[in-house]
Amino acid sequence: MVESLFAQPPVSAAPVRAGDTVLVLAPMGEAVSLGAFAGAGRAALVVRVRETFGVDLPEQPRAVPSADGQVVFVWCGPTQWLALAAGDAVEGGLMARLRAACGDLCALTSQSDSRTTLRLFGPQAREVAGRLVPVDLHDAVFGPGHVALTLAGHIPVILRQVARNPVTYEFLVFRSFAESLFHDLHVAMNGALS
Amino acid sequence: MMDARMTSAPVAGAQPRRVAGGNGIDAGRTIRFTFDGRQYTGHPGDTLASALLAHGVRLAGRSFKYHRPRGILSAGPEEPNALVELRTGPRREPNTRATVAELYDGLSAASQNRWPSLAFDALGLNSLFSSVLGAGFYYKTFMWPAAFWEKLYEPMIRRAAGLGRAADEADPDQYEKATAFCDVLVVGSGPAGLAAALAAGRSGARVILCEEDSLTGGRLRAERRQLDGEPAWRWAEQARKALEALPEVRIMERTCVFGTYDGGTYGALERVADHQSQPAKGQPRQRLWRVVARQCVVAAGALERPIVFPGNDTPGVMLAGAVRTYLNRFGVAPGRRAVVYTCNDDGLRTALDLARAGVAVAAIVDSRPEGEGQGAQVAQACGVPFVPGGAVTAVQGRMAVSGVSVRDAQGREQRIACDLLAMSGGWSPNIALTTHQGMRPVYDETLCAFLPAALPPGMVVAGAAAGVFTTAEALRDGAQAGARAAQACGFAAEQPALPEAEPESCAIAPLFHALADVPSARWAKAFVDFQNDVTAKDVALAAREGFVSVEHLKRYTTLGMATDQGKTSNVNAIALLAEITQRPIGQTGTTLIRPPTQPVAIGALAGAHRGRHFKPARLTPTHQWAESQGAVFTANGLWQRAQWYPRPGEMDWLQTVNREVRTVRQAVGFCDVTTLGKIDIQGPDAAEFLERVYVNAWKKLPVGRARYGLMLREDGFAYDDGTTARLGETHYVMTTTTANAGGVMAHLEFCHQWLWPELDVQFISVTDEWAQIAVAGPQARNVLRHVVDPVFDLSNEAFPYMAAGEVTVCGGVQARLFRLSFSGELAYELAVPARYGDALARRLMEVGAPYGIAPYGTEALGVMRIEKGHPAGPELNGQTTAHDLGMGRMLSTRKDFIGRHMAQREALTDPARPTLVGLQPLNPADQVVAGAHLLPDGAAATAASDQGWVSSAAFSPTLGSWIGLGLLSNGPARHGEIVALHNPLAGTVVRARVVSPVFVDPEGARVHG
Repeated sequence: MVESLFAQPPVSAAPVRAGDTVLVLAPMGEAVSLGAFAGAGRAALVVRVRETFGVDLPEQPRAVPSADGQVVFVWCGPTQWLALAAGDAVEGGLMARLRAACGDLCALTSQSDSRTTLRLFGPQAREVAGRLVPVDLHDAVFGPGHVALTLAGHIPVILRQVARNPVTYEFLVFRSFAESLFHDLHVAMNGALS
Repeated sequence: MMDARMTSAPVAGAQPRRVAGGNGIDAGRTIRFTFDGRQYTGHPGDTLASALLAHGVRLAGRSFKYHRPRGILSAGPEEPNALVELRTGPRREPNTRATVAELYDGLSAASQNRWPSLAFDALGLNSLFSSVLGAGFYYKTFMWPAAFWEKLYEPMIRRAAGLGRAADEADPDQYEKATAFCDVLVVGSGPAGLAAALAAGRSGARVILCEEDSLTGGRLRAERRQLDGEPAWRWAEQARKALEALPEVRIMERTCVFGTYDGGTYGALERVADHQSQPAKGQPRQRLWRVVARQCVVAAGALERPIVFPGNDTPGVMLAGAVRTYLNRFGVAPGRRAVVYTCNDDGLRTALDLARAGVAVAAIVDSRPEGEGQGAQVAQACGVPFVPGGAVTAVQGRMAVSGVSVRDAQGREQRIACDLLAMSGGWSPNIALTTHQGMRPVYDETLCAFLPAALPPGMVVAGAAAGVFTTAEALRDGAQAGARAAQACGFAAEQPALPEAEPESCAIAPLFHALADVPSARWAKAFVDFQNDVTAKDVALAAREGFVSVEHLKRYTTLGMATDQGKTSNVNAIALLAEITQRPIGQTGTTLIRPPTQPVAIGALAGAHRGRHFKPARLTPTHQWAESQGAVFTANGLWQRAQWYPRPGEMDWLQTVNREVRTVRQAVGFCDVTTLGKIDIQGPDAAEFLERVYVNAWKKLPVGRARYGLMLREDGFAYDDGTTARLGETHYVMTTTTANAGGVMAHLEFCHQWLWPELDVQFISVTDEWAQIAVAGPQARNVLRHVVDPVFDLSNEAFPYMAAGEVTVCGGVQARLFRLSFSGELAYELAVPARYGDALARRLMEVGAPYGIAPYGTEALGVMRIEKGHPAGPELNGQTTAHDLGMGRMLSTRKDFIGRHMAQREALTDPARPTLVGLQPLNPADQVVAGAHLLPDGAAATAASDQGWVSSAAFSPTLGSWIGLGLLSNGPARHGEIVALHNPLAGTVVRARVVSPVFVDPEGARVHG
């Protein structure tokens, strides 16, 4: 994409820290939603994604990386997934790759600017997340790869744990809510430390 | 008879009533505090109550109704008397129980409900009129004249009967909400709670142990008792250490579980910083927990009952168990010469503890006849006079006890000098959490206690809360309950080794009124409910007047309705009512206890969501840019939208808005319309799906075109509108109103998932994906030619009105262009990925400058849509039909759609229904106000002549006149007629002509330009 227009980040604040726990805006990457069409589409979609990306689309709230690690597929509902380009960029563009692989089997919609990722990590990350999200985040219950579609306070989020050491969560949030969620998480970070 | 030293004023520094051995205080450190402006000292670990008692301060407050002098009754959260205002300024907190307020250095407290001072209270006179302030007083006295209630009676009563004063300023502290999950929640950390937590915790189960006190141990800290030959409180500390070492156990002190909710959810309040003068930076003052537990062991202990006898509220009359708490935990002797009055063996222990602490025990009065209970042995062990079968018939002293009258079994009365009366009517299991879901407890005649019967799923009760009163049994009961709870969660739990406890007796004989057999004594002031000033006499009076149901008794006398929820009074009241109505207690019933079991501050319930952060704010992609332009913002649901963009020299908002409207009508303007809901719809059945949710036809809409659509609700009324564009063979993008964006999405999901799962279609919100900016005005195309890449032909022929398509802008940025117009001018909506919205706004300002471009806000947008007669929120108000909005002909007759059949109901097709019209005042300067009633010209302003209303109004700079849209009965047939716009709020009438709702460019030529 030609950067003839300045791309504005969804959150104006710099990363914040409380103790060793850090909240940071993740870089803007490509995101595409997949909505499987009916009929044989869904089963065929699973096969096609496996062939192209070397991974089975999850059937429950999980996030799985493609074999080359370039794409993460996040379960978003019974027939819906969100494909996230991990790292900088997928070769040739994520949308183009998906369109070629399975454009006939599912609705593909760009969500690159719809969703923003706030990353929370550090020793207090679980405590902080527990302030806002009514989900059991105990290590034995919710670990790396786990996903929850839930509310963080009043804000709808897709929450996923991406690492155990240090505990790292990513909050996928609608871009327009990002500033508010950043604020709420920052307040929770200060509170959880006390 | 009074000891001279008892009347001497306390001296700062000295703590005359402090005795050795308080297991819960740090006697090595001294801290300072003030009460009613006077300096005192105490130790870390003290409560305000224990520190005041250490100084011999016994008068702590005035009662609610009669302003009677009151002291400290208890040593825990059940305290009805010693309520104070804690802290000062914005942190001032009324009705704080001195018995749970932890002492910190610099604490400042004040007594309340007294004027001018605690010792001399003018309204204490209420007490003299108490014969008319009895049960049902409010109902009987202030009935007439009705008009006096609001202006005279209520303010008067509130002044006389108020409690503390709330802070005048906003609370400066932060609050927090959090959720916790566990296998086993243990409520209470006395012997049963600790044993339960150990049993469950050692199995590996995730355990949360909540203790509302600052220290674990419960009664183990209050009693002088041995476990395995060591003081019991030491065992409690070791148990706490053992629990701390278990990785899956979380101990939460200062955390009160206040409510049981559905599905194993419990509410708990953590007092994070209440024990400090103020919270640290960033630290919440309190934290509200939602605890989700698979199993819950309620080991909340028991609350001691007072005995009902005349003068039982005099300062110096204290619960016997509380006396032991002050002695053993706080190292405070609440008196120098005590009488112990009990109906049970547990109360007798107070005499032993007092004697051991060096307090003179003047007598033990046991209501049980000679030979029953252990009174004689205990009296002998202490070398104290013993009065079996006795009763306390009166209390001497007004501001503090100076003696009591005791009647023995033979009816002989004697006066005994004392400054402390320790009373015990037995213990009531603390079962509040078991009743929150409507389960009623049952009365146990042997234990003289209400015990939980049916329990919410996953809950067990252990220890004193289950009527298991001895330490040895409570430990065992708790261990069993904890093990069973862990097993129910799938863990292999064993019972922990329990310490050896000495045998003890808890034998009891019921005693609910000391002078049950002396009718005349019932007329003396013997209190049942201390906090709401309800006496035994009030209960009797209520019963006599027919309020024999406990629910009626409660409401008629206000018994149990104070902030203590009748913790010390409910059982005594029920027992009295039972006796008066000659029913067994079990058949008299009990009121249910509602959550919260302890007062919970509204601040804690709100958590971090207060002030500006009460709701999240959704910001548009151009928000920062609009801020930099000095825009004034308005809330549109959660969205913050620019309302107008004032320029220097503009006198008021109307001037600004008029300028913005004129700019669009004469040159070009732009407006961020990102907030409109945008839904991406794809699939082979997408068109069919649209046919069913919209009233109009969609199948013939060509690719690259947009169409206006209207949705109805199932009931046939108009729901939402917007445009939907066809981007590909099976690909559409729908727009909704800002207000209904979420609702329409849910509606579509419902339709697809439940009504037509066979339709092959997928949708997802793209509202946040695209920064969508409306560019409107005669110069719109010229401006866009500088933005849209030149390969795209924007000519009217190539990209006509209602065209839609994908383009690139500014040298390759993916974008979507729609030729839509809300303003009625030549207009486009340009959508770019949201990250570029800000830059696009700046670019438009730059390239549009030669054309006179200006941003416009929602107000100008609104003026222009009224000028064009487009319905919006005020017209789509849920009560209007397509026909009412002038869109009746859009309803397709060739297909089925949501709401079609219900829209054909007679009442919805009645031609006399109010229908959309334009309204133009005869005098252009006459302001049209939305909400005004439409009346026939000259008709009386009565409901009978009401024919509709003004829905939207604005000043039209284009017409130089106020204009309005309205819904008028038979509207379309009445164009040209003059009607009256009656505004009853301002008492004004404006005469206006009924016109077409389209005020500007009715032919619609401009949009095609």
